[in-house]
Amino acid sequence: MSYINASSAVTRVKLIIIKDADATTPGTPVEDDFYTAVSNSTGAITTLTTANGPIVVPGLQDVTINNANGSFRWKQLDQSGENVITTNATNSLSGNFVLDPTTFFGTGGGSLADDDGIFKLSNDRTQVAFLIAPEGVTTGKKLFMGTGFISALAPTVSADSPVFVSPITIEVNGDYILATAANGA
Amino acid sequence: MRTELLSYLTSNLTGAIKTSQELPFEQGGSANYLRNMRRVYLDEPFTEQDALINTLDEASEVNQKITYVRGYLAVDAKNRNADLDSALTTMSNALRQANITDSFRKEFDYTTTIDDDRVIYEFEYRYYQLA
Repeated sequence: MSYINASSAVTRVKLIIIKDADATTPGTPVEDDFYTAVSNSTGAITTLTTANGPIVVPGLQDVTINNANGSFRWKQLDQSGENVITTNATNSLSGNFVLDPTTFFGTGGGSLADDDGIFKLSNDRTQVAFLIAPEGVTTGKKLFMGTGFISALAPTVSADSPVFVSPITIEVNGDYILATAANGA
Repeated sequence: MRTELLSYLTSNLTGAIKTSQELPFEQGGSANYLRNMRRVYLDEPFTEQDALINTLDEASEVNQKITYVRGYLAVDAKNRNADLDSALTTMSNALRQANITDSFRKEFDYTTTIDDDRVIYEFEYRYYQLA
């Protein structure tokens, strides 16, 4: 069997956020809404879609992609086991990251996602579009996209860990959109 | 960091136990702190760097630098020096009172060994800084 390797420079996890309203079609973001060119040899994003002000979340410590289907169970007298059907899923992205002042507080001066920063997007309850690449963004790799709201920010610092880190959750609105990266060259 | 520690210790070790400005070098197979008892010798600092907070991308990793300063003191094992306790307290206090301000964690400890008629104190200061 093979596995999803997130340990090399080319295959590192990437999480990119824009405002959903800035996507070409709000509610259904596509890869071009976040970036338009990637180096397949280095894995680096060479051209971000700056018109949408994407935030490439830096310092990710861990990421969890949650896709928890609900279930409805019932029993029938003619069967020994319960029946089940799945109901609407609760989808969310969660993780922890090291706070970078530029991306956390924004650069100001405009109304794009990178102007606002992660905290303002959460505080204002702005709907965001996200792209998460579990194995990097080179051609052929799988991407999860969707829309949702940032929550669960809780910046923390301690004497033994003197830089701020915070959990982050994107409460996904609706389904994930699964796509294949195609902007590499 | 050796400079700041040595400055503090020189100012505050005023009894029979004092500091030496020399490094703890060896001559003729014998360390100078064994020949010159009741003198505190501080060695050159050395550092190591490792990850404080691991991240999925190396560029964002938060690293820490640990600076070690080791020191040596030999005293008479037969007749306990009268100001040994206060000297050890001063050496412990140097950890926080020496003018070293940019570390987020500071540690100090020492071990003792008997060598013939001498007790040798080997002590170590550790300063943790963001790198």
